[in-house]
Amino acid sequence: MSRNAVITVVVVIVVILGGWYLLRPKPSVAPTPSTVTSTPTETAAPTASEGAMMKGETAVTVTASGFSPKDVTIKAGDSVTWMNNDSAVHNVSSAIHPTHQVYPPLNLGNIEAGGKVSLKFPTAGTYKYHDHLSPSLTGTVTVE
Amino acid sequence: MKFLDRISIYYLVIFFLVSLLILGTFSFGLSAVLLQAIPPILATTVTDSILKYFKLKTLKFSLSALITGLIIGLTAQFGASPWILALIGIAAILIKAFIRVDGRHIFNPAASGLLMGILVFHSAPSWWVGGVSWWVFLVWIALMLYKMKRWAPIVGFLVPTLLFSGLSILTSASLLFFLSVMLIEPKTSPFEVKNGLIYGLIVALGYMLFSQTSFDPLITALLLGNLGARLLKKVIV
Repeated sequence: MSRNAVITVVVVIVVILGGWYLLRPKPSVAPTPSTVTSTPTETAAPTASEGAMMKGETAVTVTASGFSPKDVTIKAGDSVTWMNNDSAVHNVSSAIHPTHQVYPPLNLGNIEAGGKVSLKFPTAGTYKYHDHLSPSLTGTVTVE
Repeated sequence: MKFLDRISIYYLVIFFLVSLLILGTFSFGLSAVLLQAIPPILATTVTDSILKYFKLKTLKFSLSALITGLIIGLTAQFGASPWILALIGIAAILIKAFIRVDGRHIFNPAASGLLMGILVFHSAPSWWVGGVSWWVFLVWIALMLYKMKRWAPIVGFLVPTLLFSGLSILTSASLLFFLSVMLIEPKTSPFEVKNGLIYGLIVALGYMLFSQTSFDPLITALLLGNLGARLLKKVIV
């Protein structure tokens, strides 16, 4: 066997054994509360227990099936809070995928399960975004 | 620098890609990253070995197949079915093996597999490697330029792209990964400076064009550039 073959075989074996070790069945553990993600603009987002959003704040939930509502319209100076209601990590990033250069402040990054992020939109315009990890999930914020 | 001169580019790239996987575990956890990486790595290395066995009648492993699997693992849709990730890997190796001109493959294997993933499985690449800090790539790009001297495609791509998108695009880790790993892949990009600049320009124009569509602009632009690079070799060189 060549040196390349040995290295490839070793890498594959390590990956397989590591995967088996990590993914082997484990006893079920009660879920712990997720950490709430901090807001990039320091905008105060209400906690989940408060139930409703504050005035000037629009909520968008994200799950495996996408953003809901997919398109929101707000006034200039208002903010949008994205809440991850899924068990998987989601992400909010500006168009265009994957470079996100259209509106960099909207590159809010990953949202852990149960977490949320907020952004204030000071200027009128149409802001397209998507989930970087599942780019087919898209949404639009229209600021009037 | 003597170490850099001695080490094979393949080992250097594998070291970097595995490092990116390890960095990814801090954001997504080890099990999620392994689930993302194992299927395409197995698919590319095993498929490549089977094809080589039929051709050479001997069992042979290639590091390039391992690299292709790692790139697919780092860029394919995060959380996609392991079967889809494996099929993307198989498609990448089959396209590399069978779409060839003058005995050499035309298309970047990982990119062609990812395009098949979009077309056949509606699985758009996440480029989740873009979640890694962009400064990691600046160190890597410096190493790559020292080792490979392939600055021309990067310059050819960046000049029009910076004019089109502005400087902020340089903080996109997805783009930096694309530039430093996929765009300058030795087998599918030209080595000559003039052809390298034209190749980079073609990819940049493709990127701007496909940015207006729902297709992944980097993947489709790269494949367009690969085709252009091969035509350039026929026409110019």
